[in-house]
Amino acid sequence: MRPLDMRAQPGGAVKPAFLRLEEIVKRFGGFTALRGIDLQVSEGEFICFLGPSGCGKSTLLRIIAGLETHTSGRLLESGRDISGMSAAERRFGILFQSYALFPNLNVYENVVYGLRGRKRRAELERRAFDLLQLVDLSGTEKKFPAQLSGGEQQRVALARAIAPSPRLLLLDEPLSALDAKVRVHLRRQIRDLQRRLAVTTIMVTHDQEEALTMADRVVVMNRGIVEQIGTPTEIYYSPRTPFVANFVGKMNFMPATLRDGTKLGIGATGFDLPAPRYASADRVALADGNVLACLRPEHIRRVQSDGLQAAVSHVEFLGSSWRVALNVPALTTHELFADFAGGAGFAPPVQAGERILIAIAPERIVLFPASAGMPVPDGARSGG
Amino acid sequence: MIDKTAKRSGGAVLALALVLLAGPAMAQSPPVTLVAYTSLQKEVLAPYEAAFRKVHPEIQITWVRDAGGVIHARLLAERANPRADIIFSLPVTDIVGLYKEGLIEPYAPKDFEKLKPRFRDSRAVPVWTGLEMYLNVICFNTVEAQKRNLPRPTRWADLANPVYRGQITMPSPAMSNTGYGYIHGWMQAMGESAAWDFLDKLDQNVAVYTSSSATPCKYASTGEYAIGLSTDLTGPMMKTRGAPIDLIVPTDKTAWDIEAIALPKGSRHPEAAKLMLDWAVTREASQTFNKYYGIVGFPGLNNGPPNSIPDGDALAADYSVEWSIDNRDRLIAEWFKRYNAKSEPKAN
Amino acid sequence: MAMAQDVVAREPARPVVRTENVLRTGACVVLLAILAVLIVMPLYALLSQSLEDADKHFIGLGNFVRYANNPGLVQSVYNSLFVSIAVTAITVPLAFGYAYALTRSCMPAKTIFKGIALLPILAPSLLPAISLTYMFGNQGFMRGLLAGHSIHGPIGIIMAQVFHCFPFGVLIIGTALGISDGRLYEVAQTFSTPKWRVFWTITLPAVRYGLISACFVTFTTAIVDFGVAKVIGGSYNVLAIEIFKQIIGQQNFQMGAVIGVLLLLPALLTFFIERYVNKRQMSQLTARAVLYQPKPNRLFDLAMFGFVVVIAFCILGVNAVAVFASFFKLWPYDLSFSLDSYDFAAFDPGGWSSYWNSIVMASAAALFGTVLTFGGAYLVEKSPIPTLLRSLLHILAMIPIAVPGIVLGLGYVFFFNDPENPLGFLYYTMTILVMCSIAHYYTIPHLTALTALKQVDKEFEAVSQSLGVPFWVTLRRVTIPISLPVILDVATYIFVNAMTTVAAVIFIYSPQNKLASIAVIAMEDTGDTGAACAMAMMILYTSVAVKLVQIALSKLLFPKLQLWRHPDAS
Repeated sequence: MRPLDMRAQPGGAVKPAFLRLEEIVKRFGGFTALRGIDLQVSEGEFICFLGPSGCGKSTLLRIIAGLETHTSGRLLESGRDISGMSAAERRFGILFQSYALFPNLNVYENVVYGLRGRKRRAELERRAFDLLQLVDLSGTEKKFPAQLSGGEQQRVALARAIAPSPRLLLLDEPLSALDAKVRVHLRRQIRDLQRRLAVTTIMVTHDQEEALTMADRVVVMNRGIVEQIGTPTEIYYSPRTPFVANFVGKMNFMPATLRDGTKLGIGATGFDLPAPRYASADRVALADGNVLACLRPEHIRRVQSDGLQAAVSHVEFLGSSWRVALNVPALTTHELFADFAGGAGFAPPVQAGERILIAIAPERIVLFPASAGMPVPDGARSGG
Repeated sequence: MIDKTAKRSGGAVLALALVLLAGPAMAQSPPVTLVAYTSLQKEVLAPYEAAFRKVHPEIQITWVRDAGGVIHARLLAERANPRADIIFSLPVTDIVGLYKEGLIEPYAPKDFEKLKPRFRDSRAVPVWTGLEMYLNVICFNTVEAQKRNLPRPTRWADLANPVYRGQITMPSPAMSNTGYGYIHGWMQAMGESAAWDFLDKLDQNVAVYTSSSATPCKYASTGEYAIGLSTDLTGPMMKTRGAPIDLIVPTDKTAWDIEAIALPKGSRHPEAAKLMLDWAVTREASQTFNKYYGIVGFPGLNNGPPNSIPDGDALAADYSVEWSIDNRDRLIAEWFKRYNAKSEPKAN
Repeated sequence: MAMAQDVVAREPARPVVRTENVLRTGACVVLLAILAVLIVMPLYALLSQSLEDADKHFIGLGNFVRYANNPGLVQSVYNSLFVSIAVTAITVPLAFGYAYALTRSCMPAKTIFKGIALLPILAPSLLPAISLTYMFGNQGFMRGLLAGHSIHGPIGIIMAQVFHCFPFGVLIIGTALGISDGRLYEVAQTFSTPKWRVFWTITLPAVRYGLISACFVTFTTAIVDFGVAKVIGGSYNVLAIEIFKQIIGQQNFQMGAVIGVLLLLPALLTFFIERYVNKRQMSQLTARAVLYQPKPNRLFDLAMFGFVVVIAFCILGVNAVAVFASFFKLWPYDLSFSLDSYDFAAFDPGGWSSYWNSIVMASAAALFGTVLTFGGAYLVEKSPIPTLLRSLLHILAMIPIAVPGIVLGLGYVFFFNDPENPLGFLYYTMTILVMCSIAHYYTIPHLTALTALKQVDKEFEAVSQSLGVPFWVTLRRVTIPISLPVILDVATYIFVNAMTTVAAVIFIYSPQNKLASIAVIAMEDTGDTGAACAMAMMILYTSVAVKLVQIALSKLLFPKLQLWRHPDAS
C-alpha cells in the first residue's frame, strides 16, 4: 500500500481533515498548558508532536485521546464534534510510554483484551495470530510480559492498541524507554506498520531525530503554542521561528542587518541574497533593519582561499563528523559551529588554535526579525 | 450490560451481609429468650440454666451478669426502657429497694408457701422469693499464713491486727452486696462508732477492695493475698479445687443475704418469666441450688456442696434487714468518702 | 494485507460508558455514607455529648470545667501522663537498639529475631499483663526483683505496655534506619571518622524522624490503653479506666465523653506529626541514594547479637509463662498439667462461645473491611470521579487512626444507643461489633491498598477505556489479581487486630455477643486468672495460626499462582 499523501490525491482534490483541533486551550488552575492549538490531520498521516518537556505535547495527545478534557475549543473527527466524548467512546488506540501491558496476562490475552466478548474464541485466536505476525512476534502467545525485552513489550502493546482497528493511533513517547539501537530499529518498524495499516497516527516525542525520520508532518511545540507545522525538511531547512531553528538540529545565530530587502550585512561582511526573505510566520517580506541570521553547521565550508578568517577554538569528535568551534570576527563575536568531515586517517580535520578560511552560502541563511529574539543558549535546553 | 461475574460475586457478598445482619434477629424468633439480670456467681449460671431448660426446653436464657450494685444501677438507669425480662437473682435488699422505686411487679410463684419462712416475702403478694442463702466467710490461706506467721482470726475484730497488713482483700460495699453485708453487719453488731474505728484499722490491712465478692477468695486461693473476705459459695468451690484454704466463720456470727428472684415491671415475656419463677420454688430446683449452696429455700435439703459450712443457718447473724436497707445510702457514702482510694474499677 | 481491510465495524458509543461513571460515583457516595455512619456520626455524637448536660442542653465547656475541678479526675490525667512518658522513655531506646542491631550489624538469624520482636502484635495487650502477674505477683517467681513494690499499679502497667509497644518502635525505627543512604557512611569512612562521631552526626540525625515518630506512637498507644490498666493496674487510675468507671459504673455519659475528647488529643497530635515526618523522611532518600549495607565487625556484631538475644528472651519468656500458666491445675499450689483452665464454661457464662464469637466477628470484619478499604482505595486512586468526592473519601479514611479504640467505642454507644436513632436496632448485635472493628482499623489497610494501587501502572484504566472495556472487567482481571498479596495482607491485618481488640468493644458488646478479649477481662476480674490466661492464649494461637497461613500463602502458593511475576524462576 502506498502511503497516503494529502497533497498527492488523484485529481488534486484535497481530502477533508480526518481530525481537526480548533483553538484548544487547556488550563490547570492558574497554569495554562495549551494556549489555543489549531491543527488538521489527514487520514493516514503520521504526525509527530515535537517539543521540549513541559511544552504541552503530551497534554494535547491526552486531550485528543479523551483522557483529559480541554478547557475550551473543539475537537472534530470527520466533521463530527467529539469534544464531549470520553476516551471509551472515542476508542482511539493508545500506546503509552510505559506500555501498560497487563503483567498477569500472557501476550495473547493482552492482545485480544479489547476484543473479548465481541468475537468468538476462534476469531480471537485468528486475530491475535495475524496481529503478532504483523509485529514480528509470532509464537509468543503464551509468554508473559516479564519474559519479553523492552522492544518486544512495546510491540505487544502496539498490537493490543491496533487490535480493534482504531481509526486513530496515538503514541505517547513509545521509544523513550528503549536503548538507542533498539530505538532505531523500532522506528522503522512502526513506520512500516503504520503505512501498511494506513491508520492515522499521532506520535509524541522529544527526540527530534525520531520526528525527522518518521513523520509525514511535524508539529513543533513550545510552552503551549504551536511554533510550526511542516514536513521534516521544511522545519529543518525553513524554520519559522528561532525556537524551531534552534530546537531542531544545531543552528548558528548571528546578529545582522538587512538593507533593500536583499542586502545582508553580518558583522563586517556583506552578502547578497538571491531573493527577498519572508518574515517568520506570514508572507510579508522581511523588513529592513536588524535581523537574526541563522546558518546550519554543515553549511559552513572550509576553503583554501578567498574566505573569511577563522580561528579554531575547540574540536569535538561526533563520530560521523567533527564539530569545530570557530571564532570568525568578520561575522560575529559569538562562537560559530561548523561540521567538517574527518581528516586523513583518524586525525581531526583541524587543530585548536589553527587559523583557517571559511565560506558560507548566502542562500542557506535563514533570517528572522531581530524582535523574534535570540533563543535560549544551548546548555539550557535539550536537543541539538 | 454489567459483567456477569461481578453481578454474581456482588450478590454473594450482599447475601452474606444480609445473613450476618439478620442473624441476630433470626436467633430471637421461635424459642423465647428471657433476658435474665443476675448477680449470681458465674459458675452457677450454666448449671441453673441447664436444669431449668430440662423442664422448659422452649425457653432460652441470656444472662446479664454483674455485681449487685451495678445491676441495681442498671435497672434504675433503664427504667424508661426496661430490658430485663426477669430478675434471677438479686439479693433481697436490692429487690426491696427496687420495689420501693416502683420497678418490681409482685408475683406469687405456684406453691411458694412451701418454702422456709426466711425465704418468703411477708407481703400478701410477695415482691420477692428466695432461692438460697449465702454466708459471708473468711477464706484463709494456710500455706501463706504459715510462711508469714499469720495467726488464725477467730473473731471479726481480729482482722484489725496490724500483722495482717496488706494481706486482706474484701469486696467493696459500693459495688457488691456481700461487701455491704460485711459493713452493715459490723455496724449492727458493734455499734456504729466502734465499727468505724474497726474499719479504719481494717482499711490499713486491706490491699484492694474488689468489685466482685468471689475475687477475694480467688486471691486467697492463689496465695496472692492470704485472707479473702468472701462467701460460702466461692469458698467451698475453691477448696474443692484444691486451694489450700480454710473457711472460717468467726465466733461472733456472720452477715448473710438471701438471693431472691422477682418479676420486673416492663418484662417483655412475663408469661415465660413466670414459668421460670414457678420452677425456682420447686423441690427439684432447690436440689440443683443445693449443689452449690448449703442453705436453700426448700425445706429438708441439707446436702450442700463438698466443703460447705456445716450448720450454716445457725451461724447467720441475727440483724435487721430493714435497717440495712434504710441506712444503705448513708453508710456507703461515708465508706466511699473514707476508703475509696483502694477500690478496683468495676467488674464485668 | 488482508487484515488492513478487516476493520471492525465501529459501534456507536455504548451506553455502558455512562453506566461506568454512574456506578463509580454511586459506589463512592455509598462508601461515603457507610464511612459517615461508621466513623463520623459516632465521633460527632461523642463530641456533642461532651458539650451537653444530662438533659441534652448545650452547655459549652461546662463538663470540661467540672472535670478540671475534680481532683480525683485530674489525678487520672497525671497518672496517665506519668505512665505514658515512662513507657516511651523505656521502649524507644530499647527499640532503637534492637532495630539498630537488625539493620546495622551482621548478626545472624535476623529474620527470626525480627519475627520475635513482632510477636506481641499478635497477642492482646492483656497477655503480657497477665504473664507479669504470674511472674511478679505476690506468688510470682520473680517478685523479688520488685523489692517489695506491687506489680499491680504503675509498675505493672509500665512493664506490660513496654512489651506491647516494643514491636511498633522496632518497625518504625527499623524502617528509618533501613532507608538511610549508604554513601554518607562511605564518605565518613574515607575521612576515618571515629565510630561514635559517625553515630552522632550521621546516624542519629538521619533517623531522627523515625525516632520522633516512634516516641509519639508509643506515647499515644500507652496513654489511651485500657486493657493493660484493667488487668494489672489495680487501683491506679488512668484515663481509659476513668472513662470506664464513669460510663459503666455511674452511667455518667457526659464525664465519659469529656475524657474521650481528651484522649483524642494525643492521637490527633501523633497523626499530624506522623504526616509531617513521613514527608521529611521520604525526601531523605533521593533517587541516587544507595541503601546502606552493614559490614561485618566481630565485636560489634557480637555485642548487638547479645543485646537482641536478651530482649528476645524476655519477649519469648513472657509468652512462655502464659503458655505454661494456662495449663496449671491450680497455680501456685498444684502445678500439675490440666486443661481445666480451658473449660471456659466453668468460669464464664458464655464459655467457649466467646471465642467463637471472636472468630466470627474477626472474619466478618476481615471480609467486609477488605472489600471496603480496597474498594475505597481503588475509587480514590483509579477513578475519574469528581475530586471533591475522592478527597472526602480519603480524608474520612484517614480519620480512624487518630481515634483511640476506647473513644470510638464510646462514640458508638452514644450514637447507636440514642432512642431517636433509626439505626438503633444495630445496638447490641454482632453487626455493630463488626462495624466498630472495621472503623477502628480502617486507615492502615486503606493506606496500604492505596500505596499498592499507586504502584500498579496508572495507565491501565486508560488502556481499558480506549479498548472499550468496562472498568470492572479490568478491576477483576488485572488489578485485583496483581494486588492479591496486598489484599491478603490487609485481610490478615484486620483479622488479627479484630481478634485482639479490647477497648473499642468494651462498651458495645452484648451478653450474647461476648468476645474472647472481653471474656479475658471478665475472668481476670473475678480472679480466674488461669482461665483468663487460657483465653488470651487462644487469641494468640489463633492470630499466630492466621499469620502463618498468610505467610504460607505468600511464600508457597502465590509464587505458583502468580507465576507471571517471575516466569523464569519456576
